Amino acid sequence: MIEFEALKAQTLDEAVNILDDKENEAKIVAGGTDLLVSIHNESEELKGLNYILDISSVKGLEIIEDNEDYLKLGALCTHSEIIDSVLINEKLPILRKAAQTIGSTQIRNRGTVGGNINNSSPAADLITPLIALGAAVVLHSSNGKRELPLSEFITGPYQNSRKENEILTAVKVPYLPTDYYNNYQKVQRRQAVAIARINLTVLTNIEKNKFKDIRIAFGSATPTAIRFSEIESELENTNINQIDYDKIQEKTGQEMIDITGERWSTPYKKPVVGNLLKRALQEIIKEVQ
Amino acid sequence: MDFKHVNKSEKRVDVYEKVTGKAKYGADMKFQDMLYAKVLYTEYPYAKIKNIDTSKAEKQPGVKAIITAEDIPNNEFGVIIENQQVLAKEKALYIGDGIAVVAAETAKQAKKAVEKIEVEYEELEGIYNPLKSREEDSKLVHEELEDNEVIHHPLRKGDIKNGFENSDVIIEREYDTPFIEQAYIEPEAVIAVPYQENSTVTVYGSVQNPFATQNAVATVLQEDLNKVRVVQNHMGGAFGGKDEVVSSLSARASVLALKTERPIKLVNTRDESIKESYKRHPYNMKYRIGATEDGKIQAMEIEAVADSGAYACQTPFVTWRSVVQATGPYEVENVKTDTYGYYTNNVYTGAMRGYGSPPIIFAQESLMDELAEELDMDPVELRLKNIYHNNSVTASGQKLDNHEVSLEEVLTKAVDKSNFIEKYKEYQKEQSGSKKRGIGLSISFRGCSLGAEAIDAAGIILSLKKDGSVTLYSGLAENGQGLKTVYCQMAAEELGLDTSQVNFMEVDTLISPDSGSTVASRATLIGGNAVKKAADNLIDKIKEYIADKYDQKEEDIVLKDGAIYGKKDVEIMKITEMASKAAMEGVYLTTYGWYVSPDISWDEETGHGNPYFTYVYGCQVAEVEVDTATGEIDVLNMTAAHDVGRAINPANVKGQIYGGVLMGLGYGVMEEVKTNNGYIENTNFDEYMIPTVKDMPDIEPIIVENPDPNGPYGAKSIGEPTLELGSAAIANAVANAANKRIRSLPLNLEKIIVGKNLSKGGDH
Repeated sequence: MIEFEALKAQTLDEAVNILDDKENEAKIVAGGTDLLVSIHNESEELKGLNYILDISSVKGLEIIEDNEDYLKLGALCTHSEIIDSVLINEKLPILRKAAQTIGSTQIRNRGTVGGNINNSSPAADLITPLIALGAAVVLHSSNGKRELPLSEFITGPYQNSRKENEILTAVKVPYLPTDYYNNYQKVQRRQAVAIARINLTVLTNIEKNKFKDIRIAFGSATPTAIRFSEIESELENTNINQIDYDKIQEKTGQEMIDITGERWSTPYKKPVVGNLLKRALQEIIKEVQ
Repeated sequence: MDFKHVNKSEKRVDVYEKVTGKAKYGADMKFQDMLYAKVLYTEYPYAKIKNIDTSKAEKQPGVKAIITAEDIPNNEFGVIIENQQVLAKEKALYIGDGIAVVAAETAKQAKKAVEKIEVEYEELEGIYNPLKSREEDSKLVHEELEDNEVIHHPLRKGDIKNGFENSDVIIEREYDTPFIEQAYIEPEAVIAVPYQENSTVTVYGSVQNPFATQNAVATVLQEDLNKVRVVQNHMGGAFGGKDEVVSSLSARASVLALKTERPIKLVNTRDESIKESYKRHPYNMKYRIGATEDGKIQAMEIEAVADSGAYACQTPFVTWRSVVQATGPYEVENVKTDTYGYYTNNVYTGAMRGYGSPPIIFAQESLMDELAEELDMDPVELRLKNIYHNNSVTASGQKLDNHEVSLEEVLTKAVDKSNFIEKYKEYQKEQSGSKKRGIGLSISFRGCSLGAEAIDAAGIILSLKKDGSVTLYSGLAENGQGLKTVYCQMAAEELGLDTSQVNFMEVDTLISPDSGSTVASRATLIGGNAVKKAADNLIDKIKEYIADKYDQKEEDIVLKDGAIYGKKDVEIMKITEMASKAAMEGVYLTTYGWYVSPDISWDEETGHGNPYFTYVYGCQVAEVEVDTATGEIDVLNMTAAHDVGRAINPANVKGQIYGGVLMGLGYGVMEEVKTNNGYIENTNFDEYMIPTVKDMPDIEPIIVENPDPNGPYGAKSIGEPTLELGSAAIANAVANAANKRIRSLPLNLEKIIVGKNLSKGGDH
C-alpha cells in the first residue's frame, strides 16, 4: 500500500515552493488519469513516494491563449476543453481530432494536456500532432522558466527531461497557415477507451498538386513519437497524383524498423504503418480534389 | 391464447430500487462490529509452501485474526469433485490461490497486515498447456491422481470409417478459443455473520447459487446444512461466474467469523477478482468432416480438449454439454466425438454463460462454412441440407419428436431479415479499397436446463396474505436476468391478480425451497413450471373453500380479474375479500409447487441417450466491415433469431438478446485473458477488453415462438443461446469479407494482418 501526504497549491509560486520544500519528493497531479491508476496499481516507480502535489486549482494554467503566431495551451486544459474550443477548432483542428479519440467522456473531462505530455507515453494521442506542429513546452521552477521543443523534451518511453523541481505549465503550439491539410489516424482494439496501437498525424501544404512542408509523425510505432524524416523527404515535392504507394508503404515500414529495431510486434506494425500513411495521404488528396 | 400478463412486456418488478440507486448490493451491507477481511494470494502459480509466518502481521494495528489452511476444518470443496482448496495448504496450484486471510477493524488495516505476512515458497515448475498435461509422462497437477485427466466424454455413433469412405470431400481443421472472464460489473462480495437467529453462520452477498454456497460452507465448516444460512443480495451480474469462487470467499469469511465471533466482510477488488475467479474454458478442437459432393454430411470426428486449470470445478459438466452438441444441429450418421478436460496450473475454469457450447459452436459453425466453400455451395444451402427437423435423430441417438424443431424457421427468418443471400454474393465479389464488408451466420441447437448432469427439479411457495397480496418464495435466484418479473407475471396470470400484487422474496436458504442452481438457462422453464403448479394448488384450495362455503361446484369456480366467479360466471366476491375471510376462518392459503423435469438418459460409455428433454434453436447473422489496412473489425449489425417457446416477457427476451449478442461479439473480436506460465497479464479492464457502447452493433432481435409442451405457457430458454452464436457468425463474415479464415479467437488486429497472435513472449 502506498501512503503519501496530499498537498494542494493555489498559485504557481506556491507550487514551485512546495516542490523545493519537499526536496523534489512530490509527484505532481492534475487530472490524475495516469497517476491515480499507478497509485492504485502500486507501481514500482512510485516506491518511496511521500507527497503528491495537486496543481489542479493553480490559476493561469487552464488558459487557451491566442497569440499572433502561436497558441498557448495551459497545462491544465482538459481534452474536453480542447474539443470545445472554437479557437482550436478553427486554427488547429488536428488537436481536436486527436483529443476526440482519447479514452471516454469521463477521462477527457479530467485528463489534461500537461498530464498527457508529462506521462510521455509513446501512444499519447496529443503528442503526435504536437510533435508534427513543432510545439514547445514551458517549464517553471523557483529558478525561473525555460522552454524547449517537445521533441527534445521527451527522451524515451515514459521519460522526459523535466527536472523534479519543475512544473510543466504550458505548451506553445505554432499556428499553421489555415490552408494546410491535416489528418489523424488511430488504430485501436475497440472503438472507445482504448490505447492507440498506432497513431499518426500528417500535416501538409499542397502547392500546384505537390506536397510542401509535409510532416509525418507516428505514435506507438517508435519508442517516442517522432517525425519520420526519410519518408517526409521522399514525399516532399511529390505530385499527389504520382505517388508510388507500394514504395512509400515499404519505406515507411523500413523507417520504423530502422528506428525501433525488430520487435515482437514488428510483423504487425510494419505493414500497418505504411497502410495508415497511405490512408492518410489518400484522405488528404480526396479533400484537395 | 389470450393472456393477461404473460407474453406481455410488463415492467420489471425490481426496477424501482435499481434505477433509483436504492438497491443494496453485497458490498453495501454493514453490520454492527463488522471486521474487514483481506486475502494474501500466492506469489507463484505453482509453489510449495514451506513456511507461513504471521507473527509480524498479527502485531499490526487493528488485526483481530489471521487464518491459513490449518484453520479450515475441511479445506476442500467442490460441486462435482471436491478438490478446490479454500486456502492453499501444501502447495499453491494456481496464481489465484489464497494463502492466508486477515480480519481487521478497517479494510486498510487488513491490507497493511497482509503485506506483513511472510511466506517461504519453493517455486515449482508447473504445467500450463492441457495438450502437454495430457501426455503420458506429464508431471501431475494433483499428485494423488494417476494422471491429469479430469474427465473424458466419448460419443460413438455408426461407423466413421464407412462414413469417410463414402465421402467425396473430407476436410480437417483445428480451432482454438481462449480463457474468458465473465466480467460482471460487481466484483465478488460477501459478509459472514456468526451466531445470528439460530444459524451458526449467515452469509449475505453477491451469491449466484445460494444453495451451492450453503453446501460449500457447511462442508468446509463441517456444520449441518440447517445451521448455515445464505441470503442473496441484489446481484451486479454473474453470468455463471459467482458460484465456486463466491463459495470460496464465503467459506473463508465464515471461518473468520466463527474465530472472531464478529461479522466479516470480504470484497474483492477487480484485480483480485480477475486473478482469483474461474474463467471460461479455453478449448483446442480438431474437427474432421466428410460429405458427399451434393453436400450431405457423412461423418464427423471430433476431439476437443479443455483446460480445467488447477481444479475440477465444473469441467466434467461443461465438457459434457460439449460432447452432446459438438456435431451441431446436423443429421450425421457416423460420429466419433471425444471431449476431455485436463488439469494444468492455469487459473481454474468453470461456468460462464453458454457453458460448453460457445467454443464448439465457434469451431463447428466455422467448419460448416469451410465445408461449403470446399463444396462450392452457399452456406445456407449446405445447412438446409443437413439440419434437424421434426423427428430427426441426434448424434446421441435422441429422436426429436416431442417439440417443434424450428431450425429451418429461425434460419430462414434471420436470413430473410438480414438479406443474407444477396449480401453474401455481393461481398464475395472483389471489393475496392481496404475496408471490406462481409456477412456470416451460424446456427445452433441447445439442450435446455441441466440435462443428464443432475436431477432437475425446482419448487415455489406461494402464500396468499389476508389482504389478497401474494408472496412468492423461490429457490432459483434473480441474477439480473429478470426472473422475479417472469415469476410474478406467471403467478398473476394463474391467480387472476395484477403482477404488482405478487412479491418475489429474496432467496434465503432459511425459507426458499432448495431448487438447485440458477444456471443452464433453466429458471424460467423449470421454476416456471413450479410457479404454475404452486398457483394451481392454491386455486384448488380456494375452490375447495368457496365451494364448501357458498354452495358452488368446484368446477364452476374461476379466478380472474381480481375476483372469484361461480356458476354462470357470476362474481362471488373479490379475491381480497375472500383472502380476509379465509384468514379469519383459519383457512390456510399457502401452497407449494414442486416440478420435476421429464425423464432423460445418458450412457457415459457410448454417449447414447436422451440428454435433454427439450431444445431451443437459434440463428445469428453478423455483417462486418474488416479494415484490411489495420486489422480492425467493425461489426455493423447483427440479426438474432431465437425460438424461446414462448416469450413470457418479450422486452426481457430482447434484453437478453442484446446483452448476449454483445458478449458474443466480445468473445469474437477482443476478449482474451492472457496467461503467461500461469500468471495472468491483464487483471483489470484497462487491458482486459470488453466491448463498449461504441462497439455495440445495431441488433435486430427476432423472437420465434413455438410453445413447448413441457414449458410453462410453452416457454423454454433464452439466456445462454444468445451468446453462443456470435463468434462463428463474425468469423464467417470476416472470411466472406476479406477471404481470411481465422480459426482462433479472438479475431484481433494481429490475426487479421499477420494471421496469428503476436506476444512479447513469442507466439502462443
